[in-house]
Amino acid sequence: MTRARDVASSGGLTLIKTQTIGSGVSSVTISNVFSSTYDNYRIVIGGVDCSAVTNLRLQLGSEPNEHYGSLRYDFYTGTDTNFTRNVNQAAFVIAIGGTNDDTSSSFDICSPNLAKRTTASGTFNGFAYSGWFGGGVNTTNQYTSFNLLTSGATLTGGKINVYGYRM
Amino acid sequence: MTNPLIQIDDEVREMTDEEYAQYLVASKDVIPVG
Repeated sequence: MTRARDVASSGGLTLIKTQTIGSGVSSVTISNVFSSTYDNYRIVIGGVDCSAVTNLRLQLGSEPNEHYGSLRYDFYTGTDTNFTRNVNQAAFVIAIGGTNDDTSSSFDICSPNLAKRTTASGTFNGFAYSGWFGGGVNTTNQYTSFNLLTSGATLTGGKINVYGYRM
Repeated sequence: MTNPLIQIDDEVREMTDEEYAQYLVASKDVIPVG
């Protein structure tokens, strides 16, 4: 017989942290969210206003290299469809942000606090641009935090939710 | 000239010179033009 406690311990998302993004920031660090409690995490970013169209990038901890990834994007008119790739960089691209409080992204991070390579994949929409990405960090370093970085623009408002889950 | 703002959890402040140098390295790819 399956008991409720067994279901609760193996499935579903548990909210770990909600972080409201401040005004005019170029980098947001979310600390102390990855631990041995969960192997995997869902990150949901919503309602972010970018000062300009900008790549949003994810850095695990303060890892200075070893981020690899590929992002596929499409401009809604179809006039710009392409890839952005990262090879052994300090972060990988997870979204192209827009300027009308409308940037959102949802993605999963697997094994950030385990002695394994961390991987991430998900989707995004910045109104004009939408797409998906996958990336990973080619080390077995263990992380407790992540950074959300712009490419020269600033972020204002919106929230970042971090959920943990088991598989 | 001031450095950009960094947010660490609920704290928002100006980046130190070292943080700004790290930020420039981590954010150095090309922005697509639509």
